Amino acid sequence: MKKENSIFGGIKIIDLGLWLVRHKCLILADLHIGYDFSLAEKGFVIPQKQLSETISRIEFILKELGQTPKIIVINGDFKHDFGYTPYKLKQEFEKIINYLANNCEKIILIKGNHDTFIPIKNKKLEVTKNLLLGEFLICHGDDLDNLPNSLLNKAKVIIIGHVHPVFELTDGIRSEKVKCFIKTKWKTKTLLIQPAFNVLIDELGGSSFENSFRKIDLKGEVWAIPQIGQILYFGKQPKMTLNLQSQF
Amino acid sequence: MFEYAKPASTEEILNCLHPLIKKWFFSKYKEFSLPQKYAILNIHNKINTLISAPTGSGKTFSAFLSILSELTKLSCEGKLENKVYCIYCAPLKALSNDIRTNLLVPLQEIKAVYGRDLGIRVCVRTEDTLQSERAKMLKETPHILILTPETLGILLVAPKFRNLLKDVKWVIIDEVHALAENKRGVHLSLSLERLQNLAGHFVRIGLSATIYPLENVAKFLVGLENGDWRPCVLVDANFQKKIELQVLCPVKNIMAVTEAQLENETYNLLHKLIQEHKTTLVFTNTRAATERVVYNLKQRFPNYYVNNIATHHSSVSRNLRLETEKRLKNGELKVVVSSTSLELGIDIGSIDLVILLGSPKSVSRALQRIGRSGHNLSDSIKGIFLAVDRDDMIEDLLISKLALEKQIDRIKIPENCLDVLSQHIYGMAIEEPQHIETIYSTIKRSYCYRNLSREDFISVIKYLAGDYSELELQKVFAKIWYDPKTGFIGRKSKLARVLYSTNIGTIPDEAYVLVKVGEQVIGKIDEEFLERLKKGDVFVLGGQIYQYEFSRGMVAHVKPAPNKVPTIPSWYSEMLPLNYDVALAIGKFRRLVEEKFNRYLPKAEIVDFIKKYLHTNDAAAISVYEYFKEQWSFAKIPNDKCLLVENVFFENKHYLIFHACFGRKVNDALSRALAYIAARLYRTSIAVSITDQNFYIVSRQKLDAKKLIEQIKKENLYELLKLAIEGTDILKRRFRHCAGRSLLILRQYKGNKKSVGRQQVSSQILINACKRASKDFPILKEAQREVLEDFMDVRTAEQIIDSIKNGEIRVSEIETNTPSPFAINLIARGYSDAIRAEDRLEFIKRMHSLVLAKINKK
Repeated sequence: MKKENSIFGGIKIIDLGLWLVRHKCLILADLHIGYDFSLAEKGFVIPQKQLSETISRIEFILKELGQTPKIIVINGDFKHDFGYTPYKLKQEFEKIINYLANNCEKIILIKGNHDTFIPIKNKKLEVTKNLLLGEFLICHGDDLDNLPNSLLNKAKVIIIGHVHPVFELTDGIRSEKVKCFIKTKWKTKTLLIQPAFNVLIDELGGSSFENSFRKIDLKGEVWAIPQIGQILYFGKQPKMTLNLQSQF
Repeated sequence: MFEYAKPASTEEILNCLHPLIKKWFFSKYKEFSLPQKYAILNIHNKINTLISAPTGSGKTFSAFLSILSELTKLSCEGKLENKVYCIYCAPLKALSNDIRTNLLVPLQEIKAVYGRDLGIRVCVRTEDTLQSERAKMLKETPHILILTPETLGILLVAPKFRNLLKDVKWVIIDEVHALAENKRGVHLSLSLERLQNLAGHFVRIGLSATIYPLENVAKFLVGLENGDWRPCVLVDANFQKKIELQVLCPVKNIMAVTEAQLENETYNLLHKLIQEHKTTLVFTNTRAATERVVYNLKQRFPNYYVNNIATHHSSVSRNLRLETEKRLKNGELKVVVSSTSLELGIDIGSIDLVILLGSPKSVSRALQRIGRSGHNLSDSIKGIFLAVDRDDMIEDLLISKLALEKQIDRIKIPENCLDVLSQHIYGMAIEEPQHIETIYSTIKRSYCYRNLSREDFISVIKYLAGDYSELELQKVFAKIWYDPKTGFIGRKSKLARVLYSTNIGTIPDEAYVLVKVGEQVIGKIDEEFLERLKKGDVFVLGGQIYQYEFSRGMVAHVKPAPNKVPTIPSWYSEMLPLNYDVALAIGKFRRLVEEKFNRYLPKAEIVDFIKKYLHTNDAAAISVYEYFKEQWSFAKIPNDKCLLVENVFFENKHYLIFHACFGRKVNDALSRALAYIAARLYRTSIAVSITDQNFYIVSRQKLDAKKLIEQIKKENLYELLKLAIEGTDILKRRFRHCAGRSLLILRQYKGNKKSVGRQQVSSQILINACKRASKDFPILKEAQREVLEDFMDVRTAEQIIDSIKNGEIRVSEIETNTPSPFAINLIARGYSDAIRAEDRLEFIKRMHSLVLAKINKK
């Protein structure tokens, strides 16, 4: 693997996923399954392709890895709709969980703010709020301020999703947003922010996704993922405007 | 192909009319008007008829007299049944009510002649008609039903009312010219074919203002039967009114005044003209300008304009507009200022002067606007063009020349619109399960779909059947079922009819964001426009320059920034594009004048030529002379045979100015294609700006015009432009409209009416989702078609590229230090759009290497 892929000692970027080498753990965040369904329910009757797109992109990551992960972590916002899950959608959830279960020993679903209720069962599936693997603390990121000290004290690195980070490139005339990973500091810890896996919004990022994001400026190192499998290292950025949700 | 009607003798007409109608007619009129002489007999003989005649020429009655006569006959014989005999389709609801009144009066009078009521019922049905009234129409069915195109679409699926349409004998399409050139007309053309399936043959009668070519509008009106155009006679009763046209320039020499002086003099002249006439109608091209004119007249002449002045445009509330129309009719107003809303034929009483402030951009629009004056047939119509700048003056002069010489510009009718098609196929599936071949052949009878390919047709069927979705979800969101084995389609759910009826139509919902300075609302911008604004961006709104600060919900806060240069294009200005035929006429005129300059003819001779050629006075001819002379002395005068390209290094940027006088629609296509190629060739970002008479592309590097032009061919232009418009605001916006029309976005769903502002889903997300489903997803294809063929004019651009290749148009490249006089208006405008010339990934990679280079330096 190229040096570019390494975001932290023992953590590699594989497409939109993070790979914890020692733990053989693959982390994906913010899949928002059913986003297309939810749009359709609101009257945007777009073609419903999110499921197959999502699975084929995970397939790509697994192939890149070249080995079967022990754990696959879904770091929050597995599903999009907060409320009741219609039968058809439940079928989609099952399909994707079954697919993951066939490709790892254990699935850990970290509850995100969208995961009010997980309507599926699988004997490999475990649902939790936070996950500590060695010095790595994995949580969705919607409630950072209330992380239990018992976990915080043991953690050196915190891995979150939730904010759907995008990096904006502009030459003064044109501008494009690209999904990205960000390495920054939070209190005394290293904070790794993972881009959203939601395949429907890959060229847009936060601000277009929901209008409730607020913009903040921060310093950090950036790895952008302009297309499937491609990583571009942008180095340390002294100032970035990020579209973040208010609790951050 | 179609025959022009011959006038019938009074006797022939009298022979075909019922005695009662005859008696009534001559109790009111002395003789038949010209359109009536041409049309009545043909309609009586059940021949499709297209009548082109000016307002006030008895056009409506030329259509109705024969119909009233037939209905009277049926009534007298006691054979009048409870069903619709005649459908009258009008583009505006306001027009519907006018027509009803115009019919009720004669019916009352005939009743008086006859001594008892004939029982002929006339009703208006629009989207606003109450449920109770609709129910009543089932029992007491109107014999003459007045409706809008959208309502006809809905009635075709109304299970009970549909049956009452089975014997329709006549369909009158009013203002057919206004409908034919947009998607409402496309929609109507299919509704007519569906009606034909239901009712069999009926007589189609089109009423039109001045339009060219009449044959194409006739084709649109009648459609095809077994591959041949259905018969139709044409009635051209235009120009029987005397036209009085004048182009006025508010100052003696438009080249020698400041903007403030020009504005001052414009208002003085405007005021003078208004005061010299009884009632004046002023047309501007934008809503903002309409407001500005009224504001200025009131401010500058407070004693003259208080309650006797009004605005009339589409942003004014409906009640206010109706009030204005009423006061206009009653002669209570001295002046009304309008944009486009008063162009169509609502009866607005007697107006003795129409002023066109700013070029109307086409001959037909000019005639339509001026035609609002002199409402009696005997009156002459009087119009004055008031030029607002020098390019505007040139346009005015040529438009008035063409109008006086009766050279009307060509109408363009949209074709193969897949979004409108989706609506109709859905509608037909709701009517009853049908074989797709029946549907296909019905559609192909419409002028607008005569060339529809089978692939496009099938792709729409597949879209409606949910074929582009995951299997699990297909059934949930499919609108129709399609059985490829039997070839039948049908509606999917019982809700289909409601969903169809509440969502059809072709006029798009717009998502607007209010723009405020402090608490004061200064205008509105498109939601997608807001999306691309960053703090500090400068843009133009309603002619003023503002700097964007922040937004909350659907409100954008800005501050005035009068001296800043815009950084963001104002794509969404409502600017009307200059008609291509007029643009060509300007090009030809320029050539004729240049030839005279090249021969060093004396000034007096050239001025004299200009005066005669443009049918104008000394003042205007001298202004034109001075303007052209300046350009000629500077470089050369671009014209219809010579495309002048100016390579200027100016304010640290390299401009390539193309003096392409082809109108905005064509220039839009050409400039984007060139910019796209430039960006790919030079690996740099390019910005473009467009006017009707020229455009530029600008970059940090020097560009070679010839090299760019070489890369474009007639054959690759369409595909090139498809790439060039990817990701642009205009595509996103049109996609949103098309998605609405094809019911991909439902305005009304599950009992909720959605305001567009609330939708808050980026069009780009929707576009991406469609692209994933298929590269040729029909709705996306339609949005691209609409941008390239309707918003722009790619077909004409192809011809121009061809003319350049075969030498009919010569390209002449010059280098200058400052922009030439003809380019001043263009440069002053600021750039209008950045071109996404590289694809997204190339752009990102380029930016990546730039960033890396910076990091490595540190």
